[in-house]
Amino acid sequence: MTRFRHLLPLILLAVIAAHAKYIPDPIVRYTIDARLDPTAKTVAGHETIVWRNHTSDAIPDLQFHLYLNAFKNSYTTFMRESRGRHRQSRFRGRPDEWGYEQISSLKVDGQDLTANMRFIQPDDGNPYDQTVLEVPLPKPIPAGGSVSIEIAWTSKLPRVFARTGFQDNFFLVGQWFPKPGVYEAKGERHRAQGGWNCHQFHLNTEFYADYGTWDVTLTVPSDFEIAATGRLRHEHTQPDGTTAYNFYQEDVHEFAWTTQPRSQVLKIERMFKAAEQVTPAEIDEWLRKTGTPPDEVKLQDVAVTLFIQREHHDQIERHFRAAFEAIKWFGLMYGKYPYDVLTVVDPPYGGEGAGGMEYPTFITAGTTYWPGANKLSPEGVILHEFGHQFWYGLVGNNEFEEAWLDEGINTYSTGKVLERAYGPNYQYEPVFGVPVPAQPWLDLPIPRYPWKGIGNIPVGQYWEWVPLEQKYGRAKIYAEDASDDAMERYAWLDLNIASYGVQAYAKPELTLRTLEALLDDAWPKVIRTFQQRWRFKHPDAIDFMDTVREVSGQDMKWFFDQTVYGTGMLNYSVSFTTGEPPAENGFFDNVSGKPRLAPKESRPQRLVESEVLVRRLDEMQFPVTVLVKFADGSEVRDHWDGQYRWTKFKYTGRPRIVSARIDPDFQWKLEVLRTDDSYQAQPVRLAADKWYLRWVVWIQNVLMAFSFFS
Amino acid sequence: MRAAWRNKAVVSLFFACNLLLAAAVAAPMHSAIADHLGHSMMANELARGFSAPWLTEFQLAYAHFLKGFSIAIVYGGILFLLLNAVLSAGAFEVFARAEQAKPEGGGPAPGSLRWSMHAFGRGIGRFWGRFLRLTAIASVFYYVLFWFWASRAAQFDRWLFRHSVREAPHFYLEWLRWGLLFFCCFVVNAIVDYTRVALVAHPDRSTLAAIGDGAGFVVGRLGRVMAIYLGLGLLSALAVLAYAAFARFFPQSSVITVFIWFVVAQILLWMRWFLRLGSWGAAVAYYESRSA
Repeated sequence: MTRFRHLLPLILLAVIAAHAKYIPDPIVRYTIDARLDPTAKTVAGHETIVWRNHTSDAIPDLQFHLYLNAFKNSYTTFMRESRGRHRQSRFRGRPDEWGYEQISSLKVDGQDLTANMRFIQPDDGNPYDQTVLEVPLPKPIPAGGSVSIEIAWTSKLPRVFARTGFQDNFFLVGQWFPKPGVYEAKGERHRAQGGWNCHQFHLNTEFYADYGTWDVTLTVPSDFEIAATGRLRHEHTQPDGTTAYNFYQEDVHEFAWTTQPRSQVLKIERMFKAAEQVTPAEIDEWLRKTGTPPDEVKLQDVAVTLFIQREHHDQIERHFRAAFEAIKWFGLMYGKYPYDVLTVVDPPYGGEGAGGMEYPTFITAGTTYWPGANKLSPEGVILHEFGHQFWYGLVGNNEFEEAWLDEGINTYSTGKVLERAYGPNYQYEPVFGVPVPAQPWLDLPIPRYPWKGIGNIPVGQYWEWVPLEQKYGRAKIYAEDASDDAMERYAWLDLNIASYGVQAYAKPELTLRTLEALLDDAWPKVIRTFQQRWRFKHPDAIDFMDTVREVSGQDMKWFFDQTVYGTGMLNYSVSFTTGEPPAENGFFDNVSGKPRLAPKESRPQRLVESEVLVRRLDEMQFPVTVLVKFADGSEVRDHWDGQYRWTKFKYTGRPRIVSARIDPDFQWKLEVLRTDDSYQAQPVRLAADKWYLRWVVWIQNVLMAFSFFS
Repeated sequence: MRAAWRNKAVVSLFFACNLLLAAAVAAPMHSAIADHLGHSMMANELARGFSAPWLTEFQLAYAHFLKGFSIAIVYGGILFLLLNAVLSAGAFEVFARAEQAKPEGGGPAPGSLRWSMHAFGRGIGRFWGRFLRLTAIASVFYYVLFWFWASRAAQFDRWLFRHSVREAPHFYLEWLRWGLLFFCCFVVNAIVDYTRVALVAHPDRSTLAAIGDGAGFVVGRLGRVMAIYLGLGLLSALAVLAYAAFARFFPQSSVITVFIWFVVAQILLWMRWFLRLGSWGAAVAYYESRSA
């Protein structure tokens, strides 16, 4: 009977697996039972993991992520790298703020292996880092074989500053349980041989896991609201004042949850009804663009749950609109969101560190008490984190090793969706003719007198999330830091966090926008094919490039070698000279071949000579198109392979050149400096005059303000 | 206000100093923009409106220049602060003597250009030293105010809400913090203004004694004093709003339209100076009416 009790979950899981929607035979199946102690800030849990060896290797050990140990002390790899800072949040290191994950029992197929556990540090050898656990097995797991792993553990949650933890009685519980790494077979993600892929927890990296099914029961105080990955199947109120909630989800690779007293939070559910949200014209548009059969373009209904702070109740519509826009536009571009639930969590004040994070079917947003109407916060972050359902969730790249594949493609995608959903310049408000980003009300620090710190006033995340100008804002940080690393590089090895930001977000976005322009009509098919082909799988950059080549029919190796693997930048310039040749002076041969001194001031009728100079100023080599316009209105497009440092185009017998422009179709979103991409015969002085006068007026006002203090 | 209107030349003098100094400080920006644009067609876009790509590139290519430029603006501001203190000595003298009768035996009548300039120069000559001393003392007050509200109060605010999950109290306290900072600054500003009035009205007094007089006057009549500031501040805000509406919708894409815009902007600034000097005139009038 006892043996049967052990087998029961396995049998149940096998039955469930038979009904799995997209992955009939997942590598991993979790059954978790956990209880929150809101006073001690701990989660005590027991999990049963059925793990399948899908490779042809005999596997001698198991490896687990214990992510919460990153917050155990100041010597962990994460804390050493972050120095207690993550995004805008700061960890103060008070005694109750640290976190850890303690396993009290680990059994494999009923055999207690707790004593065999040992921490390993595959990335940096830091002996204080306990985020990867290795368990040697008494006998290897044979090819195709499965093991049942039972773990009892306690997680002490950290004060939230980097995705997971608590603030007061708000809990965002992510990366909270012992979780197997990914055993990759030879050939998967182009590996030379099979092995575990189980990295330590780093500041600049996120996560990587196998897809599976999750059956999770969470017990929290009954007066707490709760939301989690997946669908709530049932709840059971217990005599001790707690309630157990059971959530279930399949075909995902992570599970996160949140809970908070009902007195502070609202939980609202609305249906995204595809038939109401998407017009036939929009479906037709994406039918044309992607060449996809009509049934595959149609979206499905989704139950959207909003877990929002009561003090943000006036932003409920903004949250739902953003979530609905995201489901619609990402779905049209890349294929329907395949799950029937989505939860959007609004972290509270003080819990901002939990915001802006993605988990399958569960995303965290972030807003302020009174954001500006056009601020696109929370909208921007909702769209971005929802985008990760596609790029990280459905296409499960390895975020440790190739962060650009999810963050970069998703940043590109977020910009595209924002353009469609909110318009290209939604976040700007013109002030005295200058577009200024919308701001939260009174989010300004008071400067020190005499004006020390004025430079720190956030006049704007000037470029954040604004599609049209976003390209150029991204271009700014790209130009400043792009040469420090390559996109294709383990994220924790990047020079610094600025370089990581460029290689994971800015440069990939500009790269994809450039690629989109170069591939033109083929692009929507390319990106959709990559998404569809690699859903519920783990692709790498080579798989992406292969998809580009196959679908577009173009060999873009020259492009990827420079953008994905290279550290150079794109920068060309153009200029020209045009006019009549110089007057004749000196000796010229006459008809009989005798030198004859040219008469003084001789200027016979000669054809106009013009010369266009195109220069390559940085490392990237792109084929160059030059558009030259002449005084009679005619124009010429010339081409250069862009390889050597410069080239010249000469024109004789044509009218004077009026202007010349390289990249006339504005395909090069990676171009660093655009001002010298064009040249005209006569400089336009009005621009400098006008902006000088504006500066005069601005400075007059500044001086007036100064004089107030006299 | 009437005194300021009758002494438009004095208003124009402040305005002209403001304009000339701003034009000088901004001058390097003209050549920087012109140099950066060169023959680029980006200039066409910039002449028509605004170009975010250009601004991005300009920030990159002229990072050092922009740093120096911003420092120049701050130095220009400090210079103008001192200049304003000196010029205000003349302005207060003009307003204090504006109601005097025409001197016997001839001479310019009060309100005439010659009389204004004469009184203006006399005021500067008499009071510039004490007005500068007053500015130095006031800057200590301002420093303390900003230090307290920017640093101490902010720290208290963070400590108070360190465990909170509700932003609303913190949010409104932020407003309150800004509001109190503004209020305190206005009080100090009013004390400085009424100290100047006291100095001009009683030229034999020391600066410290005049501060005591000014502070006592302001604190004793805080409501009325603030009402004067508030009234003139509202008029100034209305002028700014009118200009903002104009600038928002008026095209600035040709030499003519840019010129018209600039003239309108200067009219606004002249009006703001007029209101600023009007507030001094009001302070003089109010002080004299209470002292009489």
